Amino acid sequence: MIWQQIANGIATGAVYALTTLGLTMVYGVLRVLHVAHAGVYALGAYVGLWAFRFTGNFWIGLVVAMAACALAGVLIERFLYAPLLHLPRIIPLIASIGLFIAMEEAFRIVAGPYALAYDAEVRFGSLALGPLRLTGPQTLILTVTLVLLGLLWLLLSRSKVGLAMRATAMDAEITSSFGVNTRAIIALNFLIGSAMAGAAGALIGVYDNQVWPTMGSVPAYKCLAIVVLGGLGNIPGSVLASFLIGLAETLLIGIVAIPFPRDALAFVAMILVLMFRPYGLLGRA
Amino acid sequence: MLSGYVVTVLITIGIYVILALSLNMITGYAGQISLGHAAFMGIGAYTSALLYTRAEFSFWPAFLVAGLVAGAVGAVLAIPCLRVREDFLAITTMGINFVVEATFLYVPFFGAGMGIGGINPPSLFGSEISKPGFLLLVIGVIAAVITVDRWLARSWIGLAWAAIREDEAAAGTMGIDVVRFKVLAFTLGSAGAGLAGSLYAHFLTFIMPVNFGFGQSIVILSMVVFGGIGTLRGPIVGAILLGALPEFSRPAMEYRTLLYGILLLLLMRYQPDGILGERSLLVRGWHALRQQAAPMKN
Amino acid sequence: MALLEIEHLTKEFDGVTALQDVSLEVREGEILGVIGPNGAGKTTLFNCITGIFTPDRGTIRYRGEPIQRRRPHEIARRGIARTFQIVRPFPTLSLTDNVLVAYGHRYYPRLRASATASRTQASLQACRGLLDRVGMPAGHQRAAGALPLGLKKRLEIARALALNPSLLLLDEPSGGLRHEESQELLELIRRLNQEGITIVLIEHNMPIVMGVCRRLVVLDHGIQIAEGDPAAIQRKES
Ligand SMILES: Nc1ncnc2c1ncn2[C@@H]1O[C@H](COP(=O)(O)OP(=O)(O)O)[C@@H](O)[C@H]1O
Ligand SMILES: [Mg+2]
Repeated sequence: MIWQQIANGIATGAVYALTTLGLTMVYGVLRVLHVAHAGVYALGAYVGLWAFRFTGNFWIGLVVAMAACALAGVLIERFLYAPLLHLPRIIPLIASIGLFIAMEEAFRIVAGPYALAYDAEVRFGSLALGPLRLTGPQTLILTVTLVLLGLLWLLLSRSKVGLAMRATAMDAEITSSFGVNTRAIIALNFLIGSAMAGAAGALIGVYDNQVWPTMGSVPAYKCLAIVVLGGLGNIPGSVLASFLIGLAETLLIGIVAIPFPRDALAFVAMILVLMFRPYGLLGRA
Repeated sequence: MLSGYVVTVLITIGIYVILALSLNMITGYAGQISLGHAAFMGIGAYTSALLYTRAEFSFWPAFLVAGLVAGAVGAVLAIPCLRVREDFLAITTMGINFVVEATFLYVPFFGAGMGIGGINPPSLFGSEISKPGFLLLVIGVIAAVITVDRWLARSWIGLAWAAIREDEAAAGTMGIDVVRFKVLAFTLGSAGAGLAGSLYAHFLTFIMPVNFGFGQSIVILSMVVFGGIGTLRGPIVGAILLGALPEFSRPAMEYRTLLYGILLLLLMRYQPDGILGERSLLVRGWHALRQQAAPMKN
Repeated sequence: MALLEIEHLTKEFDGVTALQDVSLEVREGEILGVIGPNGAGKTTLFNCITGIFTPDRGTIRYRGEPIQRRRPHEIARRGIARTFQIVRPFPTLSLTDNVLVAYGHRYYPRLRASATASRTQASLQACRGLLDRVGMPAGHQRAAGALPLGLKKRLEIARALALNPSLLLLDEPSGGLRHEESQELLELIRRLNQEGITIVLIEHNMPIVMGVCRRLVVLDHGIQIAEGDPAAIQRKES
């Protein structure tokens, strides 16, 4: 029973990690609270579903979803945020909320208000680690997450582009004075972060076997809490916080059965942590 | 005279004007982004509703206590908010909103998911006031809030808030107790939201947790930013326009929310100061016109 | 007794020691110069005195009272005012409002006074007087953000004076100014000092330092490497 909850928690944490990564990467380079990121996540689920229906292959659906979201992310950066960066923080934030509302509505108008089934029968072995048993879909989510995280880690730590990305996150002005095209690096952050969110959307669509217009609503705000908990803009921090919250949610709600809404837990954890560490778990001033 | 329907719409808009003006104190004047204003509206609404339905208070004292309680909770919750800045603050206030809403939703004392019903409109001299009477009450409260707003803006408090908004560290070295003035902004703004919440409860006659969720906070904040944050006219006009939008967009019911999102997005993109902010097209045009007209007068 | 006494002041940032065991005193009525290369810890010294940073170790006494744990507004109210190396006027406020913010220090401690004391006439007059005193040209209703650098620096001095300070800390006031502007500034500093304000001056411009300071402190890598009469220090340096 408890092991099954832990397995659920790990799968949830993996999806959070994929979704929050993009948010934290975007924050790292632009200092924008990208609420519409959750719209990109839902877009990933829809595109993944359509591509799957069209081709009958889950993996093609996943790749097409990631590509579509990457494109959406780059467009959002180029046409929405780039012109707003010199303005007070609240301006891009409200613009982002406006975009998110518009995206959810667009999904509803185009695809209808009801949940669509995403019954891709993915053949994926289940996994048993001692008493811990992950079901097929859970193993799928965890594997894809770990592979993508690994690739990102390789990119960031082993490549020139990754070095430029890390430098840009630290100080874009100084980095550009070294001849790095920081505009392109920022776009790349959006591209990668949005592709990850697209993957998360498609995976959760299959895991829950449904896709619906407002599926991004809860992640939109919960992921902000997770990102802040980890230390805004801090990639390892946000992965850590994702798994912590994923596990805490399933364990506290599932086992202890405290009468508290699952979705408010991330915020309680965040507020408590901020009291002692005002810049989050792994964040710095 | 005015039809009942129009009065109902006007009352709703009036309550939003109070909410927008009170949020403007926190976010516009003192510069502290709050994404959780609806929580304080909810605290006011629940205080008033509980006092009325369980403690046999009449509307008037319940209304005042609602403002006091919301202000006091605002002061207490300002303390976690003081530890964090800017984006961390924005997300903290958002978190507070979710936690407050969850408390209403899960604690039986607050009626849980059922909310609280049976909250009657106020009575005056023994008889329940009519809808137009309620509208007058709302307008009276707006007038009071505007008076306080002008008073504060012209006082040293308003100047201290402006300094904190522009540069917190520099404000401190000018002798301003940053913590105290921030708490003051949260207290007064939250008290205003509490009063609006009480009016809202006694107008709708029943309340539910979802009325005071994060979505509501965004609606209020959008009104402030839409009109022109940090000015007096901005939040008022923003609340009126966005408050009336659902009525005017009735024919396009299906696309209403879509239009709302696109409107916010386009406005931020092309008029980030709001339609009536200092640097907005309209206000600059108005100043230019006046300057052209000035030599003619001489 | 010295106006300000600093003993064993130490401040570190993530392993960088910005100030290490610095001890110095500022005497009533003098102009003390603080010099040293970039990154020596000069600005950090001001930030510790004005309460923006809390020192890791050491004491700062002002008129005999320890102030190293006080918050910035408490220190400002005791009569220590400063300017910033990278100017930071309140950009959307008018010049008069910028000065008024500091003038209000006499009302801020009491909420009642902050809410009810009049913000007009007398105080406005005083602020205009201060702007004139630092040589600000007309147009006091402009937004401060639009001023050229030289005038922003003057505005910061006017704002500091509105605190009615006994001790004025100036952080590279001549940085980025043209020669004539620096000369005028030199005059202003002298004048303020003659009016009875004790001044600590961080400065890179050696002619200015030599022109106004009777005593110097030299910092390097957070360590105080010399203290004393400017001529002697210049001889040692070269
Ligand atoms: N807020 C801060 N955070 C981290 N390091 C700082 C901070 N302020 C100053 N430092 C470091 O302290 C050292 C001294 O800086 P500073 O006092 O500004 O020197 P100066 O004013 O003499 O040029 C530098 O190495 C600087 O990088
Ligand atoms: Mg310096």
